[in-house]
Amino acid sequence: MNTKELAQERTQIFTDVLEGKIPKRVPVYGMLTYEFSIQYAGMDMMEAQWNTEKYFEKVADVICRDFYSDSFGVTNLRFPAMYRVLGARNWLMGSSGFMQHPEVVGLEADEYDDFIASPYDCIIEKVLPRLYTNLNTDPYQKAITMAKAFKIFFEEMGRVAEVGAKLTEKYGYGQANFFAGACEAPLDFVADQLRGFKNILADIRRMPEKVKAAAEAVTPVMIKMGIPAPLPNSAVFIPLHMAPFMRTKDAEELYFPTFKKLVDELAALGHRCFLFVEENFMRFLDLLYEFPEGTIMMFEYGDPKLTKEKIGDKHIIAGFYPVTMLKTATKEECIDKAKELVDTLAPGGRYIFTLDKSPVSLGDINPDNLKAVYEYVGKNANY
Amino acid sequence: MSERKVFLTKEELIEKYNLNEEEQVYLLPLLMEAEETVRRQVAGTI
Repeated sequence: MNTKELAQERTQIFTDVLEGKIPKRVPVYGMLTYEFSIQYAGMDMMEAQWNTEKYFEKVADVICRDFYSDSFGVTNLRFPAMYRVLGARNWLMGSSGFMQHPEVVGLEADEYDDFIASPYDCIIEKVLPRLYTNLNTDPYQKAITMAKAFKIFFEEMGRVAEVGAKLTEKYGYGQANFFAGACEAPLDFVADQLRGFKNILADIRRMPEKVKAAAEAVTPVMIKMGIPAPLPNSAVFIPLHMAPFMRTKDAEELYFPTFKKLVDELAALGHRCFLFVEENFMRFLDLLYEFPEGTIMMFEYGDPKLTKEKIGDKHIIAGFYPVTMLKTATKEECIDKAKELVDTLAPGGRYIFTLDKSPVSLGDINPDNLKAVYEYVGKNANY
Repeated sequence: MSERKVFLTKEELIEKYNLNEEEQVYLLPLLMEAEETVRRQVAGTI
């Protein structure tokens, strides 16, 4: 099979899964971070982070050469130069070259009413200047700083897309892009970007009505943010955070209504969502079942069998493969785990093989184990 | 350096972003290019 035929087959297996048909085989959706990839390729972290023009293609090519995937699988979502121009406090490069995300507060507790009245204005006028120190200035300088940051952002994003397209052709990858857009569940946005993890948990106890109203107010902003690029087999990436840390009743009342509205509205506009179901959502499976049919859900922790039984006839399941095992187990044990997950999750279709999360650094796994697992699923998980 | 100055020279960028030697090699060209692109864009719209 030449690379063109391979690409057609790979695109077809993704298309079949997304359409609810049983594909020829289980697709492998590789997702390795740029940082992990730089280390694996043996290149200088700091230099490769700053100089993506010189390094991104070289680094990604090594990953494509060595790790099986049915789609281009190197992700690069955080661009340090852009954050430096903005004077970011929420994304900083550490001395090791890894991007760090310190806990920051963009909205004070007594500013909820301002946010609820006009979330967009509040973000522009109050939140951004706190998170990005170089936007804490007069409107003209703020606009120029934003323009410089966007210039870098679009250039970096363009490079990722260009290299992705080039290597997709070279390696015969299928068309599948589950990061064609990105946004957050509304309450996660309020937590992650505005109030911080500790504060939001206190707010939920002390002023739940404000938290609920803030999530409702920001939902249209998240819908607009999530509109994806028009790509084949695409999805909008939504990483989920807060629900596992909330009481079930609070999650049902404060987290899920606006989250479901976001996914429903995007589906109504013709856009599929790719949920990264972080931590353990097993107590919320019935609520997840109610989401639009064909939503992709990549689970971190939980019970794969229960998940298949509860939502597998409606949604597309991914994840559950424990990254931690790739560090400590033997190659045979790692492959056996992949077999077990495929046996549990693949019957009937609606399954894409992924890890439970991306390894952040090379030290997180034994790369030979990951190669063996991807290779095994790619070559053996046939229907 | 004036607080009101919008577009910065190479030396001013090094000072503003407190760029170390390594950053002057890798980051400074990106910052200079962003300065120049936006400066040209703004000049073109006036």
